[in-house]
Amino acid sequence: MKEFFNSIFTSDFVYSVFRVTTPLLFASMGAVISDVAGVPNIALEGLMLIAAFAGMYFSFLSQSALIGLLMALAVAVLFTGILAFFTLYYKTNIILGGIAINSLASGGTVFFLYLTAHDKGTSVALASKTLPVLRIPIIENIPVLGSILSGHNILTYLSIFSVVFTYVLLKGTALGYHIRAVGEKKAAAESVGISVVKTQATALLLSGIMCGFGGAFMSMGYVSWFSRDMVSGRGWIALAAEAMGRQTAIGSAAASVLFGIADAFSNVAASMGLPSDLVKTIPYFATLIGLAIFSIKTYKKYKDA
Amino acid sequence: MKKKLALILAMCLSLSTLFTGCSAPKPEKEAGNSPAKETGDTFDGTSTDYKVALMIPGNLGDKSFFDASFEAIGLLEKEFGMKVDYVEAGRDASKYYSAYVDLCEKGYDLILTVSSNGDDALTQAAEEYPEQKFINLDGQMEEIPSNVYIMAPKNNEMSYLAGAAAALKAKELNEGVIGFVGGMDIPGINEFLVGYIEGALEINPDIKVAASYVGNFTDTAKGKENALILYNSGIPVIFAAAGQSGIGVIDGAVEKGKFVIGVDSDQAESLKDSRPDMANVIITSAIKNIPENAVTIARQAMNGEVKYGSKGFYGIKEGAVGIAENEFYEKLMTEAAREQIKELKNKVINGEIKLTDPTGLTTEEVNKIREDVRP
Repeated sequence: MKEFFNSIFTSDFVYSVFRVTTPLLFASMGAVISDVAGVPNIALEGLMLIAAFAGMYFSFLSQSALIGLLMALAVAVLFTGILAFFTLYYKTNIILGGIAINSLASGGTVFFLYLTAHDKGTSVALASKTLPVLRIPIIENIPVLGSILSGHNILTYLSIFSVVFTYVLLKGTALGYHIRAVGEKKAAAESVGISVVKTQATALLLSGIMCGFGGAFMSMGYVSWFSRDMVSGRGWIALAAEAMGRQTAIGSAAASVLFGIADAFSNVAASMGLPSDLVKTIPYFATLIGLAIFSIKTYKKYKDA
Repeated sequence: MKKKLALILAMCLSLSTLFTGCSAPKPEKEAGNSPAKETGDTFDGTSTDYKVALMIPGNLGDKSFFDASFEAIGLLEKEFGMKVDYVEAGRDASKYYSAYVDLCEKGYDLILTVSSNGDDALTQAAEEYPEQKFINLDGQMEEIPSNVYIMAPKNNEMSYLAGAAAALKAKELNEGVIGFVGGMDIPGINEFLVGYIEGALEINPDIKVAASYVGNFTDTAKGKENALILYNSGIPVIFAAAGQSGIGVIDGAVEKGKFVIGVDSDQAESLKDSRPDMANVIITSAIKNIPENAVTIARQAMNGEVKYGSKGFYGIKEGAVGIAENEFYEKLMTEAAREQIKELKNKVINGEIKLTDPTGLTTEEVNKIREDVRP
């Protein structure tokens, strides 16, 4: 047990929390923006998978990580655009549209993987590029803190920025006010001249960009290839984090970090030989506790009021 | 309402004719050699008339036994000119039974499969089609129907050599701990672990083995996380028995400048062109020669020599399993170490070393073996 705590209170562990949390942060911010606008985007998982594939493939074609990243974003936005087109213009149910994108992504990426890499499992046969690791000059040299804060993938830093972006967007910009108004009451927003379709489409596309970053991190940062279903439920966990965070940027980010810690924790526990089936329940158990605390708080508030 | 119902019924009908149309290809050709099935065990025609189908209860691209089984039928086609066919049934286990029935209806002389994923469906189909012969190229089934033959590669024997290689590499680097990353904590994976531990103990009786499990066979990122934790704790070499997740372990080794042992197929060989940095950290791979085993068993099947209803174990002695002895193995392992491994291999072949049979172990016994060497 002593060893267990020894390996948790290390800079390696804290460092790994950042890495594990990055895709969750991006995806949960995507979920926040779309959900606040009243169009819950449940296609996060599929969009990240598509972006992960696009990032890998185009960075292989161009041999440039930057082009790979831009294409990951572009393709994620394209598919979110398709989702937005059908749900906002043709009034398809957004949940059904999301399911469609998720199924399409799971099978479609494998299809294209086979076409390009002649492999249905991984893309290791294609020499794709990864995004650079960032070393922060002065902080890098601080003993413990340096090894925790410096040396992450550039997208990890960007994921923290994405939280700030989402917070400012929703709290301090005209577009944010529009998004919130549309999500709150469509008719009211329309009556003051806000275009509902345009606002919701913008929100969806922004959430697509977030998924693009998240997906690109999976195949161009976390690991250096694409593999079948590599997102492995991270999109769904982000959706849960967003629900737990009550559609707020800060709350969802905190929930994502909680999930990240739980996941990193489960990895350490697995290597310590704790029963691995039990270990796998840690993130879900953490959700339960989180939700319980949250509901107790709301109940108390309700009673006091 | 009635009209709608009629429409749906009509659609079902037309669809079903469409599907039956699909499931009976080349009927005029089949008519010529259909008596083959009734003659029982031996096959009278030439091997070019022998029809083999492979049922894959999973997806290709795992760089492991599904890919190897696919390679196997290619080899059968090349060696014997057999007519081969395959079905990739995916990960949805509810589709396996219908895939089997479909194949049984088509009149193949032999249906091959691999892995234990489709065992339930196989048992059911085998009982319903008692004339049809089935061979599992890599299975573990306990109650075997009379028309099914199970080839069980001795995973522990190749893992034994892998364990010895890992321990020797650790010795070279003056370390006393080695690692293991498994896909799941299941008997099929723990077979590898038991052999691995035994091999490591043979080299260094005081060695410690840290075992970790990813929890699935697809999450490569989580595979990498598991590996990084072990490597960060100072472990120099990890044996990755985790399917696709194992590629994450290899990446972790590259990042930390450590070493890894691959599994099922020669992973260094398959990575050396596209990812030389990854191939350069794979000291060897524990491999099963599924394609070669398939050739052997198919020849026996044609001659009616296969004992259906039973299970056969195939180890180092039969040439069915082993470790990859490629350029990377020669580069990354010292000559003395390679000699020592060769010696152990010979001892296993001539029976001087008796290995624990992991198939007979209970969960508690496996736990004990694992805990005894935990660092």
